[in-house]
Amino acid sequence: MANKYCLEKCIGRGNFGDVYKAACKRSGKVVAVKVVNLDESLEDMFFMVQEIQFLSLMRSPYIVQYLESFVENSNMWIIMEYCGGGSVADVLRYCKNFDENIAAYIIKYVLLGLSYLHKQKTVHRDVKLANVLVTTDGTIKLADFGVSGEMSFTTNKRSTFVGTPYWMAPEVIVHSKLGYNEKADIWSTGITTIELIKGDPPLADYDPMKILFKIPKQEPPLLTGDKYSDELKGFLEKCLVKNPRKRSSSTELLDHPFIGIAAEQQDFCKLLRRRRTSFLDKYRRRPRNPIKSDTGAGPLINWDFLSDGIHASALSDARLSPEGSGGLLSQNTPETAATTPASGRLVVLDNYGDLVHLCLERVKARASLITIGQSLDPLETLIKEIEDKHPGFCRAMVMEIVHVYSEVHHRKSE
Amino acid sequence: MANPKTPQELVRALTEQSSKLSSSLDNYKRYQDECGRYLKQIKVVIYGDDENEPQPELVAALSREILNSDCLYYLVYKLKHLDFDSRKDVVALFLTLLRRQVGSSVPAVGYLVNTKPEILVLLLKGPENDEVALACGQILRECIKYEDVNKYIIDHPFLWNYFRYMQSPVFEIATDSYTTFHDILTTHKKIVSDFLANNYDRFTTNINTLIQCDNYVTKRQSVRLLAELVLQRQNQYFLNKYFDDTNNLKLVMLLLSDKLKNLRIEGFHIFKFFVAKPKKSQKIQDILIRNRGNFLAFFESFDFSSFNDRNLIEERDYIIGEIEKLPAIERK
Repeated sequence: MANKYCLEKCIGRGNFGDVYKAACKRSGKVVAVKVVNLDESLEDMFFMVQEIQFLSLMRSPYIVQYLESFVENSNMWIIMEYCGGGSVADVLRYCKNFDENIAAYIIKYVLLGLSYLHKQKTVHRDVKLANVLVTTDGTIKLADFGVSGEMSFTTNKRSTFVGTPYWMAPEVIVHSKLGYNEKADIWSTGITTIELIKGDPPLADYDPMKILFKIPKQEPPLLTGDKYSDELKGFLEKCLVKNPRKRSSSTELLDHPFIGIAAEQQDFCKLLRRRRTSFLDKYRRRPRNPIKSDTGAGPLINWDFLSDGIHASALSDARLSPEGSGGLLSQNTPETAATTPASGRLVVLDNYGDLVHLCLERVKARASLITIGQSLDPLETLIKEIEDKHPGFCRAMVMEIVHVYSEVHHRKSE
Repeated sequence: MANPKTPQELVRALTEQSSKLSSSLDNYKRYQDECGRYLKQIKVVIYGDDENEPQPELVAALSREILNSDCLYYLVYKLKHLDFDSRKDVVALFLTLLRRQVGSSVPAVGYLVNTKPEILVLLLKGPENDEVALACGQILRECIKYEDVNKYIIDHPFLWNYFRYMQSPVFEIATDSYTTFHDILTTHKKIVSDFLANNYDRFTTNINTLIQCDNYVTKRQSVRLLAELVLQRQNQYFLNKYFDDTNNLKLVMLLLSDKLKNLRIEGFHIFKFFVAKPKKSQKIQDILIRNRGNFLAFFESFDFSSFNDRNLIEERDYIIGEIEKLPAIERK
């Protein structure tokens, strides 16, 4: 089944599996494939199966469409609709923030997606820009409800940290899983709106664990001041209400004046074209959990079954050793076969800003005196400022260094 | 047709239109839309809408009319001709009827078992059709919460098709069939115990085939189901036969030596009973003795602590103790 699709590159990494861009070999259709290893933890598989049954019953233009799934070795392949524009969080990284009417355009489609999910009696649980995807023609779709949405709340062995809590409604933090409903998504939509306008969710500078205490205690993070329109401020007042019963529903919010100021799809497209370089096409991430294939020889132990011939047919393909050679463990012990450490534990860089930052850190580490290292700090700040003001600066710098270096290197070797 | 007003008219109109549904019709789409519209209206009667609260007497009249007609039969029979959303509405309608009590009884249960068992048969065959498999599964699982329906289903010859459905290449169908089959065999203990006792050979052969299949999910699910079944005291007769059968022990031992750690652990949860059983048959005892060293090496090399389960560690230590008590034989 897996050879029906050709994996092109990794486009996203999650705690539970990496997402690849892929093409269906027969039709050429481009899809997104999430690959999850089911043998990592004992209960994930049963959870996953439930989630996929749920996903397969969802059909709406406002959500990323589930297509099919299958099992290959101990990996689960989940095939989803591909959104060529990446996530709105990716776009935001290069725009810094959005005008209100663009924000309203995005939130309108988030609400349409939520209103479908809520009619299906489902809570998304993880509304944030990283889970709002863009197609190549600028259509907005909700993703990652179900599988990873639910899973980001579980603290099993695989996820060493809980999903970032900046978007969490107060009642989700206080009452955990049992005591909340679809209104939790509305709070997260409010936070997501702020994320669009300001570039970050409120309290983004704080440690995620401290946030867990702050959100339930403090007043809702509304926006104030003349900088923002009344429509926006009023909209947030409807979303960011601490009592979930007094919070508006997704259908009610779709009628809010803020949604009325939404830009047209073509405006958003223009912005996408202007702001985005060829970046997304070259976007490639290193998978966190490289796909493991566990094909290979038969059982790891040469069992000694009595040669009584009973039911021998049932075991014919099990490659039993002849009687007499049993009693020894094969060279290939279970442990070496199953728990090869995942090579994806390395630091993986998402963007050139991080790359430059890391290089500077390494240069600092080389410094013979701490003070020499410290003298690099202003440079670091300066680079960050330039990158913020002119996104793409770091990328250009890295590209040029690589280019010039390889040129010089090339000439030397001639 | 005039717009139906009362629940009675609504049910009659839906029954009539759905019975006519067929993809060979020229105006198929129109019939399909009409059925969809009636189903939406029925939903409003049951759940109310923005303006109206549901009215109990209307819901009662609706339920009575449905259970006095062939409405449910046609809805299931023609399910594949309904559109995606309408199929969900049919599921919702079934779920409502199956939860509706009148006095101490659920009228829908008697209707399904005695009046229209054809509906249950259609539902059982659901996984044959990709389009309706999941909807049928949802309805069926709600049905078998009632012992009478569970009994009818478990004794039906079509039940055995589920061993085939669970190996369907379509992932959702395979797993949905598993969920249904699992529920059929774990919800009402008494009828399951009778079923397993009466069908030991056929059942064991079939489940053992699943355990040996290549699909990781199917394999683990079937081992898990078996582990649940052998844990039930009520299944005593089945247990005794199962744990005396050397073929079963061999298959479980092969799970212990699988490359994948979760298959090993699922296998252990059945294997432990072979070891812990007080009166073992001679053949079982012989295999255990012959592999004493293998077992000890297995427990030595397999890291149980990574599962973070204290009970599991205790069980392992107990089993190691039992295996150490086995006579160590000299090998030639």
